[in-house]
Amino acid sequence: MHPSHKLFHSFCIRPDTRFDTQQSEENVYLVLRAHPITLLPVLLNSFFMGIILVVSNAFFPSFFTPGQMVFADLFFMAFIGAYLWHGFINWYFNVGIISDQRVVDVDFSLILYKEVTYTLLSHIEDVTSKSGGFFNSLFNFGNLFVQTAGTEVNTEFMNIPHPSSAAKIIDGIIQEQKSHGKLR
Amino acid sequence: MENFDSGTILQYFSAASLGAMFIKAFSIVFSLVFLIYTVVTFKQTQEITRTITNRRNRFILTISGLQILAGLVLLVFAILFV
Repeated sequence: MHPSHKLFHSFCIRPDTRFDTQQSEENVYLVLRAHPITLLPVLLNSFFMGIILVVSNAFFPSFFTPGQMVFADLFFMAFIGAYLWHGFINWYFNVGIISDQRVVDVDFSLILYKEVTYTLLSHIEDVTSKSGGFFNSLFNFGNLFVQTAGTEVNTEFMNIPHPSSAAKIIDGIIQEQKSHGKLR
Repeated sequence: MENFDSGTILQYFSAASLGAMFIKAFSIVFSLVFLIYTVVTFKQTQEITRTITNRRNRFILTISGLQILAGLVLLVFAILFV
């Protein structure tokens, strides 16, 4: 597999990314994020908030002093910026990492919680990709389910691009590790 | 007490000055809330960049840091100019 980055780093093969508990001999093969099209609602909302800001500037100046208007504009712009940044950070750090030893699922919801799930490749029972619906078919994105044995937590990567390719790559890594006797 | 003038006090509490005071108080409170939000965002981003590391983390931390600066500017503006 040659290093490559597709769709704004949402499907990276052999990236330069590392995670905190990565072993020295462990290699990251795949990094997955949600398809960038999932950021469209955030962008549209910001755009409409921008329109509201412009329109409100045409109506409100007679009610407020110039200082109050400048503050309101600055605050609203900072709010739109923070909203955009919040959306981007949530997208950027909700990431799935597949190494030659395990699958790491980082669920990061800003301010609310951070959840990191590690699944050993040897514990994976089944890898399933699911894709359906108008937008999913149009932009080729879907969900990837990594099922583990017993009561261990199943890992899900939602709205990732090329889910079937990702499933194929994970399966390939498992087969390769098994052939080298690293997995049972 | 000899300079006590009820008219002046009433002037202080006129509808316009009360409205301006109300707007100033709200501006300061909202700026403070925004500043706290940006600090929390920065700390959380710092935390997550320790979990996942790559070349772009410094840029992301810089933008999060700039948000704190924006929050501070808003607070100063609310205190001095609103």
